Amino acid sequence: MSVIVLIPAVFQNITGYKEKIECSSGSILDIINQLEGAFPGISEKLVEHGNIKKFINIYINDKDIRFLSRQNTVAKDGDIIMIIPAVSEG
Amino acid sequence: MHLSNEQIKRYSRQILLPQIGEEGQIKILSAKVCIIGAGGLGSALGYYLSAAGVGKICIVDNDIVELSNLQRQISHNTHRLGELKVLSAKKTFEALNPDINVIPEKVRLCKDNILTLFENYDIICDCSDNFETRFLINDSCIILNKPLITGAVSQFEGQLAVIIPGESPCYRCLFESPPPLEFQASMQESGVIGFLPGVIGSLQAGEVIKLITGAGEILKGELLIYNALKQSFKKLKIPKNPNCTACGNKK
Repeated sequence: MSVIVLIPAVFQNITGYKEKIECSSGSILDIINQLEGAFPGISEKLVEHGNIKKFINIYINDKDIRFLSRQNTVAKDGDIIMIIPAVSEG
Repeated sequence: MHLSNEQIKRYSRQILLPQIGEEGQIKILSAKVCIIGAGGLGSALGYYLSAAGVGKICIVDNDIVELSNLQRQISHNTHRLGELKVLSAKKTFEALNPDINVIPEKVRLCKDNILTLFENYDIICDCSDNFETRFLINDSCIILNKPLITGAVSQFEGQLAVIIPGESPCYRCLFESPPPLEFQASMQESGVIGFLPGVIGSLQAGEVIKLITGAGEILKGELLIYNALKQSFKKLKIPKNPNCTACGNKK
């Protein structure tokens, strides 16, 4: 078992246009570190000074981690993690 | 206000809907809506609001029509290259429906002009193309207590949210602060598929019509995400941020 991370279109150039990435369960920061190991460059898009950037929202099973334990929120086996960046084009 | 025979004929397909009826059509004809951005979203949204008979539509933009716009900004055309987008959009929308009044505003919104402009309208629609304007629009709608329908697109994904001050979370509850300019620039260079603003702009039009007429349920407190590659829609709850710098002191 593992967690699934859904990568938004704007960052899929870093993941070789893979949309679903499997990671081991752990805190959101652990999971981002796993992503960075496989796809260098993704961490700096999401994290700044150890915190999730303020224009990026992360949901675990449809729950916004800002209202859980932020980057320390733990994702368990079977959880689905969505990364939602602010987009601005009109 | 009574509907003329021509109006009854023009709007008959929506007057037939029990959720709209003649009463709803009169509300639509009396509504005043402001659209910020005459780009891809604003084109689709403005087209459908014009067709529906929204009586007064203000369209705000200070750009001119360029060739690279025409792949998605369907209120403009090849003959209008170099024209102001607001004038091009006005021509298109009033040609579709001479029953409405389109007010072109060739300005770039800033804190000195936004409140005066928004005061004249019932509903504000964010179809802009930059974060600075998006946050300014949100904060101004909170100050003026105006409903805001916000849409955004990038590549193959679109986002839609409806903000009702005092009732729902706001855009700043969703995203606390704008990204740096280099992030924005990289996003603008990453492209957008042409039909995508058509989808999101049309959904914005749906929320405007529902707000005006009271039909159905408004998408408040949720972010709708459309993925065109997967042909999927996903709704996520937006928690209200009690410490929000824009709406934190509102209910």
